[in-house]
Amino acid sequence: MSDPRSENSNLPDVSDVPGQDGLSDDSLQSVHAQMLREKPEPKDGFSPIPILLLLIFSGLIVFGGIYMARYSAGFNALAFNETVRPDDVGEGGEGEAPPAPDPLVVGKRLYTQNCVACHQATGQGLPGVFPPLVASEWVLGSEQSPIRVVLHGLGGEIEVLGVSYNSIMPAFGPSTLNWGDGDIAAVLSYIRQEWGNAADPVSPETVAAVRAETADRTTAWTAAELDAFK
Amino acid sequence: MNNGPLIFFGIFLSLALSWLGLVVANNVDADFGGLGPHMDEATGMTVPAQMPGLARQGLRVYQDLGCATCHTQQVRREGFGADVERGWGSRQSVARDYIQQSRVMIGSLRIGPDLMNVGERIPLPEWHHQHLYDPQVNTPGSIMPSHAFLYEIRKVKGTPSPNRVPVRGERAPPDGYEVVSSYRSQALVAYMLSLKTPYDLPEAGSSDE
Amino acid sequence: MSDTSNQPTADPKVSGATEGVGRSAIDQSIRIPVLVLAGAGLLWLVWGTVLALIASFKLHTPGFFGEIEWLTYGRVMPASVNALVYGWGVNAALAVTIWLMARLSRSELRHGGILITAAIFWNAGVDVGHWGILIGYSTSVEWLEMPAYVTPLLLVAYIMMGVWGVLVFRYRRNPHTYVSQWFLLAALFSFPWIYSVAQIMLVFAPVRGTVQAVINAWYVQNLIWLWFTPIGLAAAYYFIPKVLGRPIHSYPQAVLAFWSLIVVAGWSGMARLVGGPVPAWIISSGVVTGILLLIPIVITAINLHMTVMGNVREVWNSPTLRFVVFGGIAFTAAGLIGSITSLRTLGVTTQLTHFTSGLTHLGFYGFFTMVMFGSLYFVVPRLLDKEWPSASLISLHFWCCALGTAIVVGSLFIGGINQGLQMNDAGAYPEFIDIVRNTLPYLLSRTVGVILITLGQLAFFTSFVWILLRPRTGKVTDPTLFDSSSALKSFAP
Repeated sequence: MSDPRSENSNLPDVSDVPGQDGLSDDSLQSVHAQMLREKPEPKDGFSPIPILLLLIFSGLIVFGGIYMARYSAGFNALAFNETVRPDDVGEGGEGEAPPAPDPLVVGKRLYTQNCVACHQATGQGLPGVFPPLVASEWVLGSEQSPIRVVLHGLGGEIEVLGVSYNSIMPAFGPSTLNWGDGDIAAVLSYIRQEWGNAADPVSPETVAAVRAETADRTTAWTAAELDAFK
Repeated sequence: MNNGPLIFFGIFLSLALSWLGLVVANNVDADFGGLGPHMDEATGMTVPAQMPGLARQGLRVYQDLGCATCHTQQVRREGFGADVERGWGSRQSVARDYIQQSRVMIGSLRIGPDLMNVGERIPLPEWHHQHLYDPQVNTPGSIMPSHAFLYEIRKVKGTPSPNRVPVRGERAPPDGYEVVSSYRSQALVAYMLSLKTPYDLPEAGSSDE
Repeated sequence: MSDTSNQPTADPKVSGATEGVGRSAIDQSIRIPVLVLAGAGLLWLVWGTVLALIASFKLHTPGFFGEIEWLTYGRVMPASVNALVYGWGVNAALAVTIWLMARLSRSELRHGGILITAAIFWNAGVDVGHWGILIGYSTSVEWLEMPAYVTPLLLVAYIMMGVWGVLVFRYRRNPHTYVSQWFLLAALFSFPWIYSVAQIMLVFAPVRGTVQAVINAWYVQNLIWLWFTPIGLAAAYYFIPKVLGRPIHSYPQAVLAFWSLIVVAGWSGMARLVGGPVPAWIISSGVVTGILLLIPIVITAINLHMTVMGNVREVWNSPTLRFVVFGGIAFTAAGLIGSITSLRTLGVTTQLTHFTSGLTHLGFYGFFTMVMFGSLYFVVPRLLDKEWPSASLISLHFWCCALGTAIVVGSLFIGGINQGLQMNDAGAYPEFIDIVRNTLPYLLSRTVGVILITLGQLAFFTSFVWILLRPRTGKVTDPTLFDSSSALKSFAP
């Protein structure tokens, strides 16, 4: 095998370098071919950091300080809202009472959180499975039956707009989620005026009266029982 | 910068700073890592309540199936996104809501909807079983994978099984067969039903009641 | 081979050829451990990408591959992430770290058996661990889904390698420490700390409540910024000036970039939790440090850009540099985008959407993986004393991976921003299923990108196996460049 170095005249001549007497041709032959054309190891240049950049970075640090001062809510571990000032946290909002919320807004929120799964956001229900609330005679009639349904649930066959359904509506009253009178009134008022429905809103007092009347009830209503209140 | 020990010390100090400030400090903070349940004076209940045992098993099923890769369990505050408007919760989720969960899976990507309050939103076990068995029936066009492997299709022998699950749609079994839930799917659905926060906490700000 | 270990290689009077002899000796000694790690890494890369491809399909076509339990998205996605991060990522990182540390410390390998044993332990652990995820023992902790029983094995394996790396640095023969060595030290030191803290406080003795989320975010961010980023930067800081034959533009800038990165990176992960059930001050600290990360990102970009400036033709022509500089550009992009989306006003839209996946892909694949490809294109010929067999294969690899990454990142960014805007608009998009439907085209194009990436990686794997198997000629040969015209003949790839 010929000496690889002799084929490539770009290589430095090692024999001129002091201290290389101990190296033989054989040992140099076993050097990787790539080593012989590799550039030297990288070195450091010493350009300074541009002043403009240093100014910008100082600006970033100042921004950071201001941001932390404004949005850390006093480093309070119970503060989850960064826009709230430090002294307003953890006391349940003492001070002026918040303005009374619009029942229809409350009703819509409750409906969206609890009823859409079955009755859908459009109020159309699921054909053959969950009855619609749109133009439903049960919704638009007397409020006595919807209040009872929400309080204690509904089971068994029921006919809505000529179609028969046989499913289970869970209760939201004292036996389970224990919705308050205001909540039940709000959600019923909401469904009675949404999607083209136009019936009177339901008041919390009416709900309270029905609750008192049915205080002993523990089981779900059936359509036959509710017929009396339609 | 040629002094090895100095470089080492600098690296150590820098990492120690974030470790102390974020990991250690929060863990020992009584108001974060040391949070306990809160006693609600109005109802006399401590919230959040302990998860029922089956729901705890369901958490492990949720964990092993990797549900957290698609679903989050965190409701962001009003004004920051539209989570509350969407009906995913009535208020922002706070740290105390999670103290009863052994594995906190707040998730990091919403390929599917948020599940923090799904037990309140959909309190029906049948809905959840249907959704796990064939998501296309409840939400057509869904990209949620079917978890039919959690169920068994069996021939009805005499009385139907107490664990049978009513399923509809294309994948409903033919007459004479029933879909029976397994322990894992029952646990998972129990976990789904336990996901709710029907209480207020002082640190969460007031909801609109 | 003569014993060159006593030569004072720091002495500027010693010629390049003797340095070359010394380097050659180091490379010969370190050959087996680095090749084992590189080979293992490549196998994981191919397998992890197959899993990622399945996951990508499953996202828009859930019925793909049927309803096999262990292939549901929730299992195959974490399995692919763990295979790529701990299988490919750590193996490649360690291969390049070991090689760089040995070279820059001018020491030959001692006790190579330790490294090989450690490599076997590590890969056995990741193998068992990722199957554990697929069969149903996932911990469901982000990026730590591998079951607890593999953790001790992984830690032991890593400590063996980490201690070796630190010792090589301790007994280095050159008095001047180069930039890359600081970054490698930081990485070697940080990983066991963050990994063991995360494992203890999340998996073995889980802490209470959302402190788990805080520690998880701390771990993931530190893994990216204190393990993968320093190693990628160390490689870039070495290979760019080395192959171009120019000095690094600025040493003071490198010092500033290093310290600002190390100090700030650990806190920046908290911006991932924006809007979450975590105290507001923690998130704010993440936002601030996320912005402060601009300092090391901008400085590094300037430093590397000024080193490259004027030599674009050489960069384009060299396989090593084409990949490494692509990675450097991706680093700058990922860093800038990550910093800016730390701000709450932008985070509210990008949080919890596909955007964050795209950003992770840009950083882990576009930056780290491409830099590792470039590094391996430099290192492997030197270990084997052979040249890459085909410049066309390298070109295919580059174009498939570069285009694939661009498609994946672009799809996820656009799809994610759309998703975020729609999610935050409950009035116009009340039904979540509509938002899901709107992301489907982007998920489809992402799959196309992943297919391209798979092709490119198969090309690389083919090159690797080919160069392993081809015979050694011992002649001085030209490097495998994209365009081997005579003007660039004396140029090291």
